[in-house]
Amino acid sequence: MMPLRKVLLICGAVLAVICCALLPLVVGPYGVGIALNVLMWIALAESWAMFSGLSGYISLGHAVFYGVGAYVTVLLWQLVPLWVAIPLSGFGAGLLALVLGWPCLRVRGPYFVILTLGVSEFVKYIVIGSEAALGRNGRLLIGTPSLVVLFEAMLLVAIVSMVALYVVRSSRLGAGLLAIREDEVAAGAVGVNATAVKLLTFTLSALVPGVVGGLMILRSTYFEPLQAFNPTTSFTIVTIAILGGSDDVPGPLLGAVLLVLLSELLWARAPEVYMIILGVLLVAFVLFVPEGLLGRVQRLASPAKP
Amino acid sequence: MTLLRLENVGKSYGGVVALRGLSLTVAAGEIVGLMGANGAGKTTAFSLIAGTQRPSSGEIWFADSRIDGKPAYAAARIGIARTFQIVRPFGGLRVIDNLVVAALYGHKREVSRSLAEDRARAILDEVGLARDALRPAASLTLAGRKRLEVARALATHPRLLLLDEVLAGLTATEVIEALEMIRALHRRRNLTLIVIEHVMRALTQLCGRIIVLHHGEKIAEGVPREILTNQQVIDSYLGARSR
Repeated sequence: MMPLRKVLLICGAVLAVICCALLPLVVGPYGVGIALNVLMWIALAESWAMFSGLSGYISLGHAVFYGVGAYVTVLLWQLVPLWVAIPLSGFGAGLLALVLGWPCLRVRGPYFVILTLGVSEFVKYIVIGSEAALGRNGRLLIGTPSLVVLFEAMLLVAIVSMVALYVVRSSRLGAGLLAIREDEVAAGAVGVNATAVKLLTFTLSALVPGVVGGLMILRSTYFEPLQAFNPTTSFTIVTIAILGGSDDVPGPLLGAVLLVLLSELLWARAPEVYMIILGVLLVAFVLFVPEGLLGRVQRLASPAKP
Repeated sequence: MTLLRLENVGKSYGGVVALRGLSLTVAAGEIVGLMGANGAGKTTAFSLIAGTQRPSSGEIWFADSRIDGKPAYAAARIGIARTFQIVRPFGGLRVIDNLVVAALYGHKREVSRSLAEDRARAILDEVGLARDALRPAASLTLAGRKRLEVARALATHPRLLLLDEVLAGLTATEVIEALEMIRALHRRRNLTLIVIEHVMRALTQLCGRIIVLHHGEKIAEGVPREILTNQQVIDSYLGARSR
């Protein structure tokens, strides 16, 4: 029989999802827009944590998967129905991750971080170049789905992203990733094929950002490579991971909710200094709560070890 | 039956020769000791067998298949497990999870996490770490971490286990306990062992045969009694006496 705690947790999660799904009935478009934003960052940060949180390889390249997802959806706009285009955006991003991961995952530590950032900028400029060559100066999408439809779709993606992190973390793959994070040489010595494990997870972790990019371009209705491939997306994901923690499902969730709500609040109340306050907050977290909110909560909740 | 065979295996780093023309065979079920002064090439030999490094020359055969040049994970999957001289636990993981990874990826792979945990618990019992199963590996004492190193290697279900100075740094009592543990493991599990050790008494008690390396070359091989009285071995350890 399932332990009571697990039953309560599942009931709570189902209830939360139902409440979320019904949100557009109670709040106006502004509220739904913010909620969509929160769900987007949850989806992105959870999928990022699947690779970077578990393996310790910090990717600053996830913006490229978001951008490619957006681009695929734009290219397929009105050629195929959206229920085909959006999943294809995910697969397009996955394919790109497979191609980029092969060379990038050969290096570790700071080299990997810089390389992912560089490669994602490189892809951005390829897209900018090819759009210019095609004579396209931005693309407008007319007749995109309503905000509520996009919100419900994003809710689904965020749930999938969280479940995916949970499943991977508790699987053989997750055990291998955590071993790689702790000591890659020792992981190899017990049979973990680090290259295969990292590449597979890197690819899996790009699927959700691709789908999210596809959905968000339908929200903005205007595609412009500099915006779609903005590296700030990657930086924000890492910020969320620092705030919330990236070791398990609740971390990115906490971080995303905190960051988006705080941004909205600060932006509305103190638009002149809001970025400064966010920056100071981030520095404070790095210095004083390096394990993230989730890690701190877990540490406080667990009894002191002898 | 020969389980492991090295033929003329050499390893050099740039101009520095770490191992020169090493040939040896190990039969299934044997415990072979590997000794020599610091820098003699013992750990290099382990790294080549376990695939952590590639040999510069020669061939390595394990159970009738050639394995030199194969990566470490492949060696682990065909049944070669090693411990590291400077222990490398997965410090941030719980002790039991260190073994679960090995049980999920090693030679005989468990199909599910719960089966892997069962195997892990049985091994932790065997090596005396059962009480520490849920602690973070980094919080263990040195003796505990050395045991964990052995336990994690065992969790891959190896046929050949390479123990690299698992007794070094332990107190006298801990050495006796660890020796007892290694003997019991060998008895119960039908394991083949190669043991690197500086503690001479331990080697002579444990091993049926000892191989001595000096400056990357094999200078002696035989039963412990012969090795202890071999003049070349004594010279290599203490420096040649002027005659």
